[in-house]
Amino acid sequence: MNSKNKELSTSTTIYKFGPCSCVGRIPTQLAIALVTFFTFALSALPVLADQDVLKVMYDELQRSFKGYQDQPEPPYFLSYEITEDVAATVVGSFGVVNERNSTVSRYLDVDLRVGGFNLDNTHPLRSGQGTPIPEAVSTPQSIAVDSADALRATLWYHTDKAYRNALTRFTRVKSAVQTAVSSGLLPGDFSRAPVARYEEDTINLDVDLEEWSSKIRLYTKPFTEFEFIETNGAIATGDIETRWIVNSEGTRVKVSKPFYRLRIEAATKADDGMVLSLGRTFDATSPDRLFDDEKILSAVRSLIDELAALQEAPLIDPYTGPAMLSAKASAVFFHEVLGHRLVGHRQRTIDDNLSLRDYIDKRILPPTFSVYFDPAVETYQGVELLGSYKYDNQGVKGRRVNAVRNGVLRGFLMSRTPIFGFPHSNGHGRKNFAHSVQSRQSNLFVEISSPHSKEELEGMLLDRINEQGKEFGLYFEDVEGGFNLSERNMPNAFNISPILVYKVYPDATRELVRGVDLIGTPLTFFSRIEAGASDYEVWNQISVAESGQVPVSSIAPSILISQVEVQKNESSRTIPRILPPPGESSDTRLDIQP
Amino acid sequence: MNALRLSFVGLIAVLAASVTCQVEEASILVQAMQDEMERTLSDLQLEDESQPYFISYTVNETILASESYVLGAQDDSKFDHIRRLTTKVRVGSKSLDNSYFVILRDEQSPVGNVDGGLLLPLDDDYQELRRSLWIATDQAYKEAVAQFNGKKATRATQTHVRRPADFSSEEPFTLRLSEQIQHPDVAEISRLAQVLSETFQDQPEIFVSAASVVSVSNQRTYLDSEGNFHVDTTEFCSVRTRGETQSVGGTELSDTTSFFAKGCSELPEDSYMSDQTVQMIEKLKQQRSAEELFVYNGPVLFEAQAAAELMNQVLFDLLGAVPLPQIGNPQFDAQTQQLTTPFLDRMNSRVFPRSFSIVNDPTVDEYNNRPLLGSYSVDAEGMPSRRTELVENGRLRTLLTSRSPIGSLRNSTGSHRGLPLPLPGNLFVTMEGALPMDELRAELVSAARSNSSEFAVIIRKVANALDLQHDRATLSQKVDASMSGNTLVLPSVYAAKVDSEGRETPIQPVVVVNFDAAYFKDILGASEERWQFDMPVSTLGATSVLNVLTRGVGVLAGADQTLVSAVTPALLFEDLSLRSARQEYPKLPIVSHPLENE
Repeated sequence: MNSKNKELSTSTTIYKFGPCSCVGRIPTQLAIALVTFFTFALSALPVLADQDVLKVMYDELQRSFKGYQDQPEPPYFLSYEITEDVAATVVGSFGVVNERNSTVSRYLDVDLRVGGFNLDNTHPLRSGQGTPIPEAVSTPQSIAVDSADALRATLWYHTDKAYRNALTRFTRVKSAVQTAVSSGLLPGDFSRAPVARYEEDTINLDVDLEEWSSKIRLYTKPFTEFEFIETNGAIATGDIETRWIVNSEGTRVKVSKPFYRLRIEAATKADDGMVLSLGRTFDATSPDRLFDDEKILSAVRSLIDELAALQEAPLIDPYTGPAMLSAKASAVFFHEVLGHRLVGHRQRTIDDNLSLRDYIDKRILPPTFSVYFDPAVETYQGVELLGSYKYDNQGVKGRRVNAVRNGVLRGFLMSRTPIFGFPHSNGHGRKNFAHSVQSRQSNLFVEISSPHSKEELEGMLLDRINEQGKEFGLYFEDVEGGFNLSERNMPNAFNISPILVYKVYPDATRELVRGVDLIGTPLTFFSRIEAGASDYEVWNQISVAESGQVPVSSIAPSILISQVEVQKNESSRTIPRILPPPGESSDTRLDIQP
Repeated sequence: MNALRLSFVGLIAVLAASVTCQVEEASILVQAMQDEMERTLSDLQLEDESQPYFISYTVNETILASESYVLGAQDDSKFDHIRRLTTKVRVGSKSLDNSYFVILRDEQSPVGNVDGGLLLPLDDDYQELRRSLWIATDQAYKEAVAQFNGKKATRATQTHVRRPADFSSEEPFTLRLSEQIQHPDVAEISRLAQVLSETFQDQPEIFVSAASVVSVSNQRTYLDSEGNFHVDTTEFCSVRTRGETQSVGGTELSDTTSFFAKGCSELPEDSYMSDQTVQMIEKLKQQRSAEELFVYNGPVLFEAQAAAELMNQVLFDLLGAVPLPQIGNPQFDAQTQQLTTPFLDRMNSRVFPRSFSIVNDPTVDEYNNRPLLGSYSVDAEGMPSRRTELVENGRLRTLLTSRSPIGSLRNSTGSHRGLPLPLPGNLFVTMEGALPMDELRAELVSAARSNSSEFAVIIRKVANALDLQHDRATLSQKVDASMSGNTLVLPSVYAAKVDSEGRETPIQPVVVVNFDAAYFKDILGASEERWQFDMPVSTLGATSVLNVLTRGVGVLAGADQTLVSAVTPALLFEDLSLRSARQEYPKLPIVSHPLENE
């Protein structure tokens, strides 16, 4: 490597380094190397002007699309989506930094369809044994966007591959359709959507790794003061996702979205060996909004207090009876149990359990409850919503969907894959790269038309405990997520993982308990929701489903449920550490300093 | 203080005297390792269970930077800086301990624990380093106790089999190479990848192209309770330029030009790498109209890279020996039997022609004034590298070993390279009575004539598994073959038919049908000229089931920096079966290349 460095063009990615800190122990050499790296390596070399990427993509798409039209089975639809991720991460624990990394990746997804809107190559297929054949997760195809030649050559190559794959699958689809009895469920494989034209500037990633390292040290240092905390970790991530979408209908969309997250976790063990872990997550669209020292350190202190209390908390036995979910727990519950069932593609084929398909225009929640999704809302009471976006992964503008009005089910979240009664997309076709688009949640809002105060709801819980003659009720303060089963060959059930649960006694006293999961079947559970409060809270999360990871938000108030069921959870149990933590200094230390 | 602790303190004193700390940070790490190890040896014990008799800490601090470009534009960039701790704890005694026993849990591979390690602080904070070491040691000790008890219980139900000890006794070895870990010049790496990717500009016959540069700097700090200690700093830089196209008949063609060096500053001149890439492009273009060879039986000459790559794919894994893992569940016995090192039963038997010798010598730094990238001073168990005569006059004399004895192999050859199977460093293949190249080619033609073949075949380049990362179909075939105990040599990149007059006609990719190590015995001849090739040893290229199943972790951590250098002559085989690499090929792209008419 003997050539002189080329003069590189303007950096579009900002990475800052402060002076080398001896406390941080980042040698000057490293700092210089990292500065050099982040100044140059993460910067796009703007051979191709940013605004020209869409044009080059569109021109190449049109050229290819036309080029196939004289084939016996020409494509009727072609789209390209390029996803660029520019990300940086700092990981630490107990007051020190463990890892720094950064990546720039750009991936291409091609959606090429042969056949027609009614029947195309994406039609669901089943194996000879009758089991559904899921669409394959494709290998991520990396693509460069800063050169027109590179961009066009890669698009051309993968379009041809996509065409051949589409032809092969469509042959199987046609054969399967001819030899199978129709389920009568599918109104078509694809729907028409309005042409969209939208373009916004690429947002620059603003990461000062040295400052971030200091923050990680600051936020994790308090954990070193408590011997009972066995493990601790913090991860700060900055990520700019920029997407370019073009299709053969004329859509050209470019969106760029920042995502900054700090996650702090700690774990301890109870005397019986049960591992107990708690975490706090902070999300923002800029680093200056993310790192609020006072707020974060306060959260760290409360996390430590809660962990200490949890360590002493008794186990609880399986239980049925009245319960109250805090606003956050309720937000998780609505996302997991209702939201995942309101996605249209789960009401589409005979392999889905279709649990809500026949409930359209029927009551599924109390009449005071409404649920809607709106990706256009960016903040709620000052909190930024992760589930917001302008256009989905099919280039369709994200629209508000009133899924439940006054307790009655009205609609589903739709991508461009139709279901009976819902023939068009409402801008909820979402995915992570290398996955097929599915209908997914955005920002879920629960609205209560005549809410109670939280105190009133707590009073109602005590009433139900007495009415049902129970020794206690349950209050779910915090939950960590959970899972859903929605395939036809599985029980239609959910399992939510609470991390802070209290027994509430008839005299209103509370006792922290541990070791249970909240379980149930959705429709029964919905029917037992009695009332809601007005204390809304936002839960931001990265949701995982068939189309990969997508960011979502859920906003809900505390709710009262007349009867819940909990079962003992599956938790790792190992004996405590044999030796105490190492002391500040060892008597046996040998001096081998220079 | 028990005897073990006394010995440890003694050796630490020796260590302290021998170690000249160049960097304050390193001394804090070493100090933390020493202190936690000493506390562990003194105090760590579960009631009614054995204390550890051996502990080792390996800390790999790794800085990885990679850049990938397509036609002058960046498509991928990565940077990672971590410090990873691997802890080994042995309980019992050297004659019987917890090693090579697997307690099956849901998430575990049936062939053993893949120790992905634990991240240590990058900050040299003594207290936090100690905390991490404490946690890792505690986990490793508990796992070791469970393994030891399981192993004893399993052995109690089995008939007595004469087994060697579980752990070898070796002389302590200390080494400190004083270099600091190097930080990559990412701007330069980026520039190089960009420049090389531009070599493919205006080449519409090449459908896909890319240039990538990867720099991995690693500092391994190793300490064990027997007094082995080293700090070994290594640098590794790889450059790959790659092109893919299709023949006029549809055959998928690809080639990769690779350059490896101990540090990016030691790479060849840019102009040389560009020229090599241009040559690759031209060869690929010529290959588009090469003849197809559907089936062939007869003599085959492996020249240059093809001979070295054949060794890589067939021989390297066979030359290492480790004990079979024992699993606490008899239903896996059949699976573990597949992991047998086949050459273990061939000791002192003839495995090559009588004129052949093979030596592994990682201590040699150069061959013909060119650095040997497989050289190293100390292995991952703290053992010094050493010369080992593996094949002498065609007979297998020994195998490469770690500190885990097997059969009659009781001591380490210093060949633990951080992967499950011991591997060579620099492998030298020689043959008495070797022929000049032109005579060897004449021998090839003559052998074809004796075989009543109209032509013979020369293979000059064979794909390396790392170059076929995107070719899932071929790699799956290779893994499937390995899992069923067979060997699949990856397709040729460049091969030619040679007629009776010695005229060559290029042919499209072929594969050797059912190649077996036994074929090495039938080598008819070798060339006087020998070539050096440095090859990364990757999970993808693993031949043995053991390596296929357990190498995974290392790839992301930059384990592809494990290089083996092979110095081999061309090898003439009397009778091999070849067939076309693929039976079905896609048609050529329907729409013309976007740059074709510009």
